[in-house]
Amino acid sequence: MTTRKLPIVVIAVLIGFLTAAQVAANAKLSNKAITEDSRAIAVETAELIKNIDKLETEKLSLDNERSKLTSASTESQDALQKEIDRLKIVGGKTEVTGEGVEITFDKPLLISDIIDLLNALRNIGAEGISLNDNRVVPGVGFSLDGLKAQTTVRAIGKQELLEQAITRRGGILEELDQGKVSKKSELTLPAVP
Amino acid sequence: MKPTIVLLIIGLGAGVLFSAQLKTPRQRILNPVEPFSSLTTTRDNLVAKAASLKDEIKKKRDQNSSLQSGLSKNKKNAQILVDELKNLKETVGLTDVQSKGLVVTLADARSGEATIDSIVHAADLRDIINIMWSAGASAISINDERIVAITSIDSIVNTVLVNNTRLTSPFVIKAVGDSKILGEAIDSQDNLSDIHRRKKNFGLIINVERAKEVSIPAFSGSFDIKFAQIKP
Repeated sequence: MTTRKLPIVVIAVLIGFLTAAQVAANAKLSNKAITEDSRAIAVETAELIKNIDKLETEKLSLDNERSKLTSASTESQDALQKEIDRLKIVGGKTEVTGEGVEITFDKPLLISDIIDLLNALRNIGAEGISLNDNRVVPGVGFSLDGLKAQTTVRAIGKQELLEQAITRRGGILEELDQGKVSKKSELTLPAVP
Repeated sequence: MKPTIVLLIIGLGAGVLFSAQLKTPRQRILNPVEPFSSLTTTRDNLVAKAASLKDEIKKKRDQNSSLQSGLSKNKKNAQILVDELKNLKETVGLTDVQSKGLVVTLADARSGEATIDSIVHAADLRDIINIMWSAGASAISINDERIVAITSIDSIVNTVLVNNTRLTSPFVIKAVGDSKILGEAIDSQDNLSDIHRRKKNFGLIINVERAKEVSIPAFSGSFDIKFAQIKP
């Protein structure tokens, strides 16, 4: 081998080494991406299953409503009334009652705390929420002047599920670093004025 | 020339072998690709199923609405119920809305490394929605998902879920209302200080546009009421 060719061999060895190292590094990186993604996809899948369950129920109740709407007039009016009642509950147009949880905070909360808390309650399936005896519905926003020294939030829904989800490790109460939850077999929430 | 190429190939091969020698012992695979791909397949199937169920629900709702309207032609007392139901549907977000309002686009920074400051979080969307309600918005959607009484906006790792549906950047938030008041509330440094700081320092994108007409679709999910009852 001539000395002229020696540098080429050295450079080639180096390039080969770097290429292989790069491939190995990429494999490691993509592996990391998979770890992060699969966590997100697993949770998303769980949320999808939960949602599909609700959508199937909704579909059945729409079929049920349809058959009532096409039958005798008393039954069709019952169907109208049933749907009116359901939407009144959803829209906060009526005082509602049911089991749920009451959460009390002795120290002032930030606006972001309130936003996150209400969001967590909705995610767990709260069917109605009040904050300091005011019904929370779309259209209600929170600003600094609405904040009080003490806060009481009431939520109607499956009481065990609400309590467990709020108080779990890494849950909303841990994030807020305060708050006491009590399960209630009956709560009443006011209507939107 | 020819011997050079041969040497080059031998050299490259030797380099790869050296590298293989230097590698740490092979690790056991903790995240096999097989379960990962089956998980993504399941996810994709469920996304498709949820979408088709939403379509079906939308059609059934439309059909029932016409049946409801049909009832009012025959009976006077039915007319009252039908009108009440129509108003309630508008209140809870079961109707499409077209009116003047505001379009806010929030997106991850275009360049640079994705950091906690340069990407959009679910909490940013929650803050914007809160500001919009406070500024008098009457209807809001994010990437055409209507914000209703039971909507939660959640973050899972780097994914945003709205109404249990995965949304990705850019996030287009539409609000019906007074575009001047809404726009001022969003532009205010006091209201969204964190978002404005990240826009300035990390390239987070927030674009605010006053619109003569925004179109916000009806909620296509389910209002599942099991525990709450009207107080007798």
